[in-house]
Amino acid sequence: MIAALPFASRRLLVCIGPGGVGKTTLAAAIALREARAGRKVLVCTIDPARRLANSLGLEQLSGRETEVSLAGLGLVAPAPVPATRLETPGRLFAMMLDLRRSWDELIDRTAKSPEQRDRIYRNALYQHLAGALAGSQEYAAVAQLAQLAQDRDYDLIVLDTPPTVQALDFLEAPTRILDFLDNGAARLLLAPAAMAGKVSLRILSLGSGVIMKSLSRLTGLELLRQLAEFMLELSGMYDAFKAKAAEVKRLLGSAETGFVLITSPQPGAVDEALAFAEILRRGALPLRAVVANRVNPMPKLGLRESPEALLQILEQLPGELAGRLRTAVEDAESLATRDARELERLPRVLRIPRLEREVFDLDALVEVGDLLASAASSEKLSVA
Amino acid sequence: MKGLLDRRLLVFLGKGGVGKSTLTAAMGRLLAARGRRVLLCEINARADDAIGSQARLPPALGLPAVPPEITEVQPNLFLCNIQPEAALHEYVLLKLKLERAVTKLLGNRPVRSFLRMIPSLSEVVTLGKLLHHVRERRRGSFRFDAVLLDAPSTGYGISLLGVPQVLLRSLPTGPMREDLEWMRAILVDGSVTAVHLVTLCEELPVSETLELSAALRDPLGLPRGLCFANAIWPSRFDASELRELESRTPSPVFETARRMQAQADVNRHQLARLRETLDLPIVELPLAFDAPDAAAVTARVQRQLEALLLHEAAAQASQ
Repeated sequence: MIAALPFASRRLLVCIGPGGVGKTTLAAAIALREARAGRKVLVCTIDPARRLANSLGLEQLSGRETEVSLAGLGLVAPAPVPATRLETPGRLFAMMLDLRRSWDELIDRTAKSPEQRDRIYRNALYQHLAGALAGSQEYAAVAQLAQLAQDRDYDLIVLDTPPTVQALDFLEAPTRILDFLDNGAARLLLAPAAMAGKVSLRILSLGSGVIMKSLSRLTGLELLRQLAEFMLELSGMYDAFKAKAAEVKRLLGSAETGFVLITSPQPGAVDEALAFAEILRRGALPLRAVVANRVNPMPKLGLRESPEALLQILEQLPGELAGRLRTAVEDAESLATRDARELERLPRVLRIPRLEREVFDLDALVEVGDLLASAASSEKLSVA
Repeated sequence: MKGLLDRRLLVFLGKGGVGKSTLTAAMGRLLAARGRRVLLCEINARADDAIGSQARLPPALGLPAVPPEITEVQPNLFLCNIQPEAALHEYVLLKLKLERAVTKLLGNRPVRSFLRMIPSLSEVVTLGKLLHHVRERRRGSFRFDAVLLDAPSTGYGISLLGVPQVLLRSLPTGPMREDLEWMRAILVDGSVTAVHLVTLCEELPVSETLELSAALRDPLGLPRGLCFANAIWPSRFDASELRELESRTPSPVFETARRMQAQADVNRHQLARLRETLDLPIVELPLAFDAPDAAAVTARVQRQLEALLLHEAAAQASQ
């Protein structure tokens, strides 16, 4: 039986980290490893790239949970032999969080009537809502995740997060959405007539004539009117939004959730990773593991550790080839030294060495998961 | 490459971790050294705080923290860290003229949250600030000869550049629409703007680069410049040499050679794929193995770019 990863014992694992470090791959590798350890696992990605789908043996990831066949791993007897499981009862599912759909579903669940829902869908501003509120896409994704955690019986859900610094926002998104909805903006900005449901230009009573005039010089009157209309629709859904955001916030901070910080040993990436760690610390969000992906290993026989031995070997080779070999070893040592120095800045970091091939298939994901497991066991992470 | 250096807006776009900041910094230094007044911009959603600076350009230039406002860091070279909140304030000031009116408006919490509902307002004011400096004039001539943007990585970068086009489809007539129109005009003007792609020669970055390039052409319709294939591992051993090393050196030494060559092979393979599929000139930049920090990498890339320019000039002179 394959042992579960010590840091993956919680029900929800959120993988965060800078872009370009292999977050999506590691999320999939963690999920696969846990499935092999016998759990029922869902991996959610927001990466539309097909590569994850393909490496999981799927044509394409969709907004629906799709089961990944683990048959190729020799763990499960292939069909049509009736489910004689050779080793593991675990199952792996994958899906892509469709941010636009996340919002639609949120509106669906929250709207008071089909008419209200349709009015919101039709509103030109709703079409842009995702961009309008900082972190709103991430919010919608996390909201969808909370729903999945609540509705389904997965032992573990692994979430991969957006590959930008903007991803930092999603941790604060629930708070921000609450702040946005909770400040009485609608009550203050919209005239009583509007609150009663009558929409016209006159619904705006923007505190004072001066503010109203200033705003219209910024946006024009027509945009102001559209905004007011939209705000009016949303304000009716305030309580439901608030409940949802509070639920998401509770889930992220609860004992069910853990965060895995993924980085590469590149100097810029380590800086960003440290910032992520600080944000988690401030939010009292539990950081369960720090993983450095694609670490360049130190040559076992090199110029720094054993120069005489290497020079002797080089002397045996034709001069030109010896020269190139020497440069190759020096370069490998430079990279490994730089990586080691950078990673010293991260506490208890799990090192995944740079693989010689790119991760394209389930077997490679298994390999990454195994490397992670051995790094974790040598770091002696507590299971607490 | 030379022709592209005359453009006044150079955008460096690509996936996270491919070296956009390095390229922006190196190109900025190069242009400044040639006597042009250069503004380097990056965009950060967060203001600097106790977490530390999120700014990437100062480390790439070997500088300590630099204030977010436009700051001359060496002769002819200016840095600017565009932050949406500050950009919004500047934008509103530009419209209302009076600082007092701005404070009154933005100091009003309901109004602030009302403004947040304006689609992509943060992107509009961010991009607006950048493009403002492209067309800004001082005493009759342009304030900057070149404005370089270290763009946010792929998804956000492309949606930022696409904001004027997308919003122009749905926004009603009004002051914001007028702003979006001049912004879009600068972006699509091939005599002013070039969007350069930066990539690593690996499967995923190359795939994203190809997608980015396609998206820039259609639907965005933005002028593309060069593709910088960054951090390429040199190929040192062919198959027969590896066999020779395997038989004549102890396994740890052979392992190092094989491992280094494996990465070089991935790069070579992906570079070939890029050349086959991408209809842009490709500039190859070798990995600086021994550069100890970001600033050293920038210096190396700057020298490589200089060498390429000289080479190009020599080739033209001999024609």
